[in-house]
Amino acid sequence: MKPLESTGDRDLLSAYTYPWKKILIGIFITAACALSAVAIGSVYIPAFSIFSILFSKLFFFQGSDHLTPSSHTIIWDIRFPRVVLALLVGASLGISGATYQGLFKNPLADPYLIGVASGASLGATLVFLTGLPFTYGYFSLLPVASFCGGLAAVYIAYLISHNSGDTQLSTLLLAGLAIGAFATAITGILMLRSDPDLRPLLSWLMGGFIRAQWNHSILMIPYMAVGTIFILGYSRILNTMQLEEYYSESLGVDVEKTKRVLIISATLMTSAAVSFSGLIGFVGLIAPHVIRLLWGTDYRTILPLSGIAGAAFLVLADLTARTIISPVELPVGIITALVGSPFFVYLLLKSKRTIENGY
Amino acid sequence: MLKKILLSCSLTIAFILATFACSSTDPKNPNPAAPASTPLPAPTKTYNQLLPATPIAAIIPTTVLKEIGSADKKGKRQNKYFPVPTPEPTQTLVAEFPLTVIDRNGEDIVFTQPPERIVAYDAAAVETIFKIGQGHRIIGTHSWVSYPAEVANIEKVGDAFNMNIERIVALEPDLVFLFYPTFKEELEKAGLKVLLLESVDDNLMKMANTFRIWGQITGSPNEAESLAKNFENRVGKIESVLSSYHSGPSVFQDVGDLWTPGSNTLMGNVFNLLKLQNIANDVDNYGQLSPEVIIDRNPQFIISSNPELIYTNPAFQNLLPVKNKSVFKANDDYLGISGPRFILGVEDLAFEFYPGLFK
Amino acid sequence: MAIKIQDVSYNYGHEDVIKKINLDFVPGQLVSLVGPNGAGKTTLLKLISGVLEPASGQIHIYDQLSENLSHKERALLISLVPQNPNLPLEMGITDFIMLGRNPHLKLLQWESAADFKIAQESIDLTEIDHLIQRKLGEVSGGERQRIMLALAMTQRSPIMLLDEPTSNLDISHQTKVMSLIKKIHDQKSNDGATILAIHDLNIAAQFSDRVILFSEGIVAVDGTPEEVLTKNNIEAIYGSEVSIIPHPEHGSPLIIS
Repeated sequence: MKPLESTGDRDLLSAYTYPWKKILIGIFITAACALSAVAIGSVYIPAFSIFSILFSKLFFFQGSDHLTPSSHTIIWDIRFPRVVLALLVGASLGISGATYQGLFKNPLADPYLIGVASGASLGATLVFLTGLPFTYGYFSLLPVASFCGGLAAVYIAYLISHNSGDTQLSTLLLAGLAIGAFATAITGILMLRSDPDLRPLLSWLMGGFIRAQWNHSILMIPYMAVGTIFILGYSRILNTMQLEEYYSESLGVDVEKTKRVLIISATLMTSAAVSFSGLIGFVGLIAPHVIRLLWGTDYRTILPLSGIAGAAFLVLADLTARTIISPVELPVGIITALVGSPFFVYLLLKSKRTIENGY
Repeated sequence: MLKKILLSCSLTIAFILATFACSSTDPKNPNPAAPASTPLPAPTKTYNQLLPATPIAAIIPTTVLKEIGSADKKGKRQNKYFPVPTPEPTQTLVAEFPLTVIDRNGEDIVFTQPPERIVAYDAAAVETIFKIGQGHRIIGTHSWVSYPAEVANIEKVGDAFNMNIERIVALEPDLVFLFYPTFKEELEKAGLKVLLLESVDDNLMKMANTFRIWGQITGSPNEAESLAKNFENRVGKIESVLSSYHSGPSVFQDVGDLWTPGSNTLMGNVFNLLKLQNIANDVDNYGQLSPEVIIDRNPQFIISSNPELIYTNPAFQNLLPVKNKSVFKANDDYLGISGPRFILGVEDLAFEFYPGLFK
Repeated sequence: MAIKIQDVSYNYGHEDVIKKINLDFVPGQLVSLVGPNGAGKTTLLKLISGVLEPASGQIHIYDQLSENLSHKERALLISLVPQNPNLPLEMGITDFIMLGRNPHLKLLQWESAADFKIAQESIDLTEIDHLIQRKLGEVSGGERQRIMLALAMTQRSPIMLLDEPTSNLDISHQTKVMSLIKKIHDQKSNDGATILAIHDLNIAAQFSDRVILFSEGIVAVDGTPEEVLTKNNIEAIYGSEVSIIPHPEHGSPLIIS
């Protein structure tokens, strides 16, 4: 190719740099939220004790002798595992929500709207009802079952949209909605036909972290890590996927393969989140949108920051859920729905306005 | 939506005793959680003021049996006992018809003769009717009723969530008994006679009255009277054994996922009778208690339907009942149904927690 | 040979829209595909770009069988400017143009300064540097066309396919965009080729090195604008009477209906 004549030294564009600064600020804010969440609870424990325990655990020295055993238990065996699990689940929902939105080119896509979470909870319900033990050492059946359920839901939705002539993602979205409703109905039937004591199952489906333990976080991390690595790896490709499919292909994107990788990864993360915390809606919707409003459409920024925002949001929601009517707790899903529903309406109105303006 | 419906329905069933509770305690001003040394507010007074020492009977032609704690038409709950004439306890009772029973909504339900074909949609009612020898009158119930064994031959016309109204109509019952109002209107529209009594939820002694009401309705007042008497005597015995005690040990009951009964529940009432200090005394009805609150309040006894979940939770390892492996497995068949066997569950607790006092 | 089309057929359902076409595109030419609506020019463009696969026959791109090319390999050889695609309206124009570097980047690779320099050159050539702070939803039709040209240019592929690049544009923008396409074509090395499907015969006549006139799925006439756009050819294929005079400035045929 002939060299193009440069029109001068004007540098309108500057090279992308990874949004480290934003990510670091985000992590800092999230860490502050997490520490506050550890410090605040139904039982008053001086903030000093939290740091004392944290440092003694981090650096293996015996610094927390002055603490009563009960405050040690409350901090280390109740609040910390709970906050950590909320961070992991929030991050997973944030990242997978952003991925689904990017993939379906629909700002309202959310693991709960496209049937993934319903499929995952159907899978987990089956495990619940068969009475199989959930965990074998560090292997847990629950995320595997929910992953199968979630993936089956997406796959069936995908087949339906494929057979309808094309793999237009809007068809996929609608099919996902239908499959999700179907899975929810099956879950309902299973529950109705089962043993009368549904409290554990229902309480689990409602979502929450009341049973959070350290080993839940440990079990969750591999699923989350695998999903995150693939999704972040594909984040630049996801930008290209914002064009129509043939246009993306003309830019060298293997659209079918990208869809497969991203759907499987996002479903894996959603399912792991569902299996450890039940159904918690709106996190995957809100987090990516806040980031989009702040920092635009580049998925290399949106994806990691959605994870961070989701983590912070869910930790704060859980903090609210467990302290607002202390000593009793609310299901965290109620809090996320209270914040999320108005936000959802706002998005609906906004997208309607965009259409009316002819864009 | 389904999730919420299922949850609310399940709570209705699961916490039979709680859902329609008339709160005798002002929720704005609940009893603060009693620290281990605080004496209980002399519980015996409560029963004696509320209930007559002697049973209902010797009824003049049109008997009015007002259900205790009935509601006015607006559904606002009152908590007053309708006083009735006092008979001689030894006197032989005669069933008198027509009989008027005032239902939960304050409406008069008139019986001209004992109903022959009863659909009793409530485990406690089924048990009571069998206990007073009138089980042959029951032609239908719901699928979760399993006691007494004869129930196996009685047609199941639905479960807690669904009622097969067509089937009920086809059975041609002359009375349908309900403990929750969901299907009342439909059944009445179908031309059936429906009796909706409030569940016994906040006052243990009301149970005896319910037995008597069933005795009147089914025309076997003597059997009902002796059942009620037996109940009252056994409660009285516990009361008198414990009368010299000012306050007993602290207790936490886990009915599943840390849901626990508060002071204004039937179980709260049982704890008062047993002079146990419920650590969830400040909970209104049933609530999911924060785990850290449980650790902070450090109960001396734990009652759970699934002790394994308590034992395996790392956060609870320092609680005395966990250390001693002494979490008491409650018999849900007894304490879950406010019928004739309920007192057995109460006595189990008395034996368990005061091993020296009760034989 | 830039593109070699051998016995290619394509059908939508039972309707054959391309019937056993044979065509060669030599490097260095700007070629216009013209013909009445439904003659098959856009379909041929889609077949070359790989959006559609031929029902029979073979397409070679630089001597490589088209169907054996991966999306990436094809994107390195062919860039596409589609007709009125749905664009993500919230996307920034810089981000959009940078997507053109996608075929050159590995999975985890990010755009380097060199990539930005290439995008900068496209922006300068298409004269849209005043737009780059905007979003795709905030520009006019003519600007949008130039932005899509900038994207295709940034791809730096030797072959550029354009589907009706001047449709929906007013006459001044039509000329601007076509001059730009010509400029981009001229900037390319001699290996390159530019192929556009276009319904406006005068634009085809004015800017093309070669015009291919399609009729009912076959190549009716193929040659220089002067050879192809004759009164007889046009009247035979379009079925309406026209007059042809030389363009007063360029001397290319000017068709008047």
